Amino acid sequence: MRPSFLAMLGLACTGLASALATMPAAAADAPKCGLSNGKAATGQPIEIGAIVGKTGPADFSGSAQAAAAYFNCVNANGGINGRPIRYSVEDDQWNPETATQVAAKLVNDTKVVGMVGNSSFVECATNAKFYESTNVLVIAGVGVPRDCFHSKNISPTNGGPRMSNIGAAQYMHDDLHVKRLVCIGPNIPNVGDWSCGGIEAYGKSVGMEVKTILFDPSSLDATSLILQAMAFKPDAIDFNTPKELGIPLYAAAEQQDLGGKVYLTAPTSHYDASVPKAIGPYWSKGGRVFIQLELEPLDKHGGDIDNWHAVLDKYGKPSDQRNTFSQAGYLAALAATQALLKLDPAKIDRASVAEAFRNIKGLKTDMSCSPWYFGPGDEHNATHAGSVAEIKDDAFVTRRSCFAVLDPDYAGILKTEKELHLAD
Amino acid sequence: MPDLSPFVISGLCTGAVYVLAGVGLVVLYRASGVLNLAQGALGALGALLAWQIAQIGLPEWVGWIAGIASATALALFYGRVIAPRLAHSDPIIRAVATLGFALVVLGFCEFFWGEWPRSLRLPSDGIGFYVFGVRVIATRAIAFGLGVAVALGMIVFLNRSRLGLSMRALANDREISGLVGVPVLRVDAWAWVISGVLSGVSGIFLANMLKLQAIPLTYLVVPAVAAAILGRLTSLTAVVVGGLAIGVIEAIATPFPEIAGYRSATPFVFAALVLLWYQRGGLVLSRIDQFRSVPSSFEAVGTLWQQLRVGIAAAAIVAIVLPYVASAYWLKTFTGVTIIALCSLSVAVLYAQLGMVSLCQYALFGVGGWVALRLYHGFHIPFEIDLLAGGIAASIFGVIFGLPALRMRGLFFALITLMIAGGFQVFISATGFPDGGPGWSGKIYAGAREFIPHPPIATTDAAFFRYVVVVVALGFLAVMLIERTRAGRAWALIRRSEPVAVAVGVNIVWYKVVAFALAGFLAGVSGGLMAANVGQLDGRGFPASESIMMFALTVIGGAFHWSGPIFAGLLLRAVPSLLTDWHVDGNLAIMVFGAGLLHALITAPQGVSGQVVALSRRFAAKLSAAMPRIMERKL
Repeated sequence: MRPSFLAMLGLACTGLASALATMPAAAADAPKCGLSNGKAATGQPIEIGAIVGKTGPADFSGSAQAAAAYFNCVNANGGINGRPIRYSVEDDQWNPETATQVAAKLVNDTKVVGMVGNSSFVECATNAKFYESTNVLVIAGVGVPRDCFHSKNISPTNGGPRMSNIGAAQYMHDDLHVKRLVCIGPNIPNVGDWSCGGIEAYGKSVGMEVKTILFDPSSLDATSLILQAMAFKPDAIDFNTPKELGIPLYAAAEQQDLGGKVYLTAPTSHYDASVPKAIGPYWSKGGRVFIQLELEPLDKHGGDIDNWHAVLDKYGKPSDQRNTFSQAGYLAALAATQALLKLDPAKIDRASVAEAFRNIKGLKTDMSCSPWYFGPGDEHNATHAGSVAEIKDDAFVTRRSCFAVLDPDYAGILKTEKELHLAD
Repeated sequence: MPDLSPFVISGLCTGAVYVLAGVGLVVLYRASGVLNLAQGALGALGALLAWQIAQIGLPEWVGWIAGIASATALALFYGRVIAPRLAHSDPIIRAVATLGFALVVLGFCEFFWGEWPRSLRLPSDGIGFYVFGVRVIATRAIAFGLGVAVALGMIVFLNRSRLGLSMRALANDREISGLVGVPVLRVDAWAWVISGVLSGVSGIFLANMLKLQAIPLTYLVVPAVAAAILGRLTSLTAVVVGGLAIGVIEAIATPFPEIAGYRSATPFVFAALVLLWYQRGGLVLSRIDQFRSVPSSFEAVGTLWQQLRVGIAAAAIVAIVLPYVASAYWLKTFTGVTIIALCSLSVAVLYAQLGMVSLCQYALFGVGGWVALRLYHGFHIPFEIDLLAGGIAASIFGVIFGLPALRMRGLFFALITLMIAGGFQVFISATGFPDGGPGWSGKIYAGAREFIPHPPIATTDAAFFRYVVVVVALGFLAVMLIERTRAGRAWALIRRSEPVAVAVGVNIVWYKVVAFALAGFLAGVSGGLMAANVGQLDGRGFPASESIMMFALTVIGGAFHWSGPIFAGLLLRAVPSLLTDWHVDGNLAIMVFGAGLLHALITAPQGVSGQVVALSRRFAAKLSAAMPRIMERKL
């Protein structure tokens, strides 16, 4: 229905073509998933759901695209001990009202046994209590607001904007010797305040001066924001936004010719091949923009990253995004599949799946710097180490690999992790 | 006191954006009498096309020409094919119709291009100069110069050239102009061509200076209207001065943290104040011709008692049966439909009873939701009291907003309500809705947010649906009864002719206040219901465009019969849910809404409900005509 000449052209021009150009050719090996036996699963389907924010200010559906490709691959390779996964993805359209509707649809109408690969700005907050009352566990692909990391039944595979922005600030401080940093974030509740607040807390612990500017994403005046940031005389500015909202900020900073004056840094949301192209040569020529990666670089070879490319090549759509959020969706699907395979296929229901998901621990993959686990309690943030890449010659070059992000708030998580050997 | 000079310069640069967009609006309004709300959408289409052509490797100038040409062609199409069908309508109806066109174009852009990081670069971006430590790039200077040049050029053109004078004649009175030999269609076409070229050119500049995204470029028309209002939609000089003033005030608020979050409200506050200043002269008695022929609205079929019986029976059946047959998804959807129908009723009351176009009812819906949430989280008092308080608060705001607007004519009243909706959008996205935090805002920052549950007497989704049906039915009942009182009769006279109403001693100010209070109350209660339905409200969910959509869909649903708001609720909530359920692109719904709005305004001013009522009447007439014959045969 959707593809038309212009749309295909648009996608080809923006995303795919440039993505492939900046990326070494994907692995030629056949993708491996689930039982990897090459037999199509024919049993009674297992219902799995996902809620993503596709229609709205930015397209956050990449996580479920990758999860869908992985589940397709699992279904073509023996399924869950013979039973295929039926994966239903719903769009919450960045609207809490729609988020509650589609959650009711998946949980009460479709009767999913669990959720995998969710990725949204609104649904964690609106649906967390509902998931608790219905015993649905969510292996989220991409958690954005704080609510996604502080709910009993939700555990994301990504690190989250707070982790990513602190990681970016850490690189600024440790490697580029930045003394003063401004964090510009959207005034979206539990997003901008929460993540810029993380940088402030980190800054305090290492003696770096940090100023937060929260802005209305619908504001037209990016230049004033940049001038406001520059009034603080920073050595670096952090654009704590989805990539779509960041583009006008780069343009305003270019207009003020800040290239030689400050470093720019941003969380993993800007780690997408479309970004160097959209921000233009002024910023993308090198030495000026540094992006934190919650998961490992797309061009790293071996194991899951090659397999992720192979799965998307064979079972995905050409328009599927390839970025951190897509990796997070793959990782969520991988974790879920491994947990489901351990269950008696005749006894896969919400209770058994909830138990299996919650018990996932020590999932080691070259896609992430820290092993993934679901974790007990109300706080989940298994991915808390990442890398930093520089935008250079229209591409991303990794500058520092796999370092732990030092969020003072991680104390509780690190303690539980150690006590229960979750990462081992 | 921080150094403000850099912000003044930055503000002048932003001001150039308002000037460019505002000049385009005023030119067409002066030349054809149409406030073209589709200007931003046409510009977005032109800019995206220009970007697309550069992407496939053709020279940039080919893209610019193609972009401007496509915007011009579409403007001409609208001007020649659609606008003439509404040429005799009220200015506000003509403005709302262009919104329908804007939605079609916007839906198309979003469908084909979607939201994606893109940027449209111009060769002038590389050149810049410093003023007070701020680097001004050549593009902004050119845009500003262009805005001023176009304004000056148009002043000369409209005052000196034959075509320009004809345009002004046409905008003033179409019929007389035709009689004295002005070639109406040809002159009209030229006005639209000029407007199209301007929207294409400004679209390319604005996409470069702001962002290359269809939604913000389309709704940029709202602050542009603010700039245009400063010159009463006619003075080009005032648009230039006003646009720059807005830009500067907005920018110099930046270094003050207390107000920085609200600074994007500048255009709306500025425009609202200026409108009030313009209207200070005294009571303006108005009459909207559109409404002279419309039958007294809510009395369409049968007596009041018959209608009440039908309505109450229908509500009871739906409330009892639907939870048994609908899935969880559709039950939630129909809860939303019912709540939104009440908000739509608040629009319909003002439109059908008084002929007033309120573009801020969704903002009042937000006010009601805010107060209900604040009271719930602050005091944990029974939900019914929260709901009532939300209604009363929205009612008070409705009157406050409405009072100064009493003096305004149709189009300007609609515009001041649009400015209020714009101001509310900025306020609520900066402040957010209460979620259990301390202070007056009740907002939690970086902590566990709290939610409002369904009321204790209706904790399940099924029970809450029935609860909502009862509350909303009471709202409809109240409107139908009030219509039969003295107030309703006064409204009927006011909408037909204010001078006549005054002549027979009707206190039109009082009865308008009653209408504003009632409409505000209904919107506020529906906002409180929605808060309890979702558990929270989202500060980003209240852009001015939602209030415009609320009005547009009420017109499509039909404002003149009680069933109209229910159709509006179905269109606003059930149709998108159906498309979501079928995994159809939501942008198609936007296109369908746009086309539906045009259709309703042109051919079916009484909307879907009008058509359904007419059908049922025809059916009833046929039946009663056939009855005697059937009876005879039986005998």
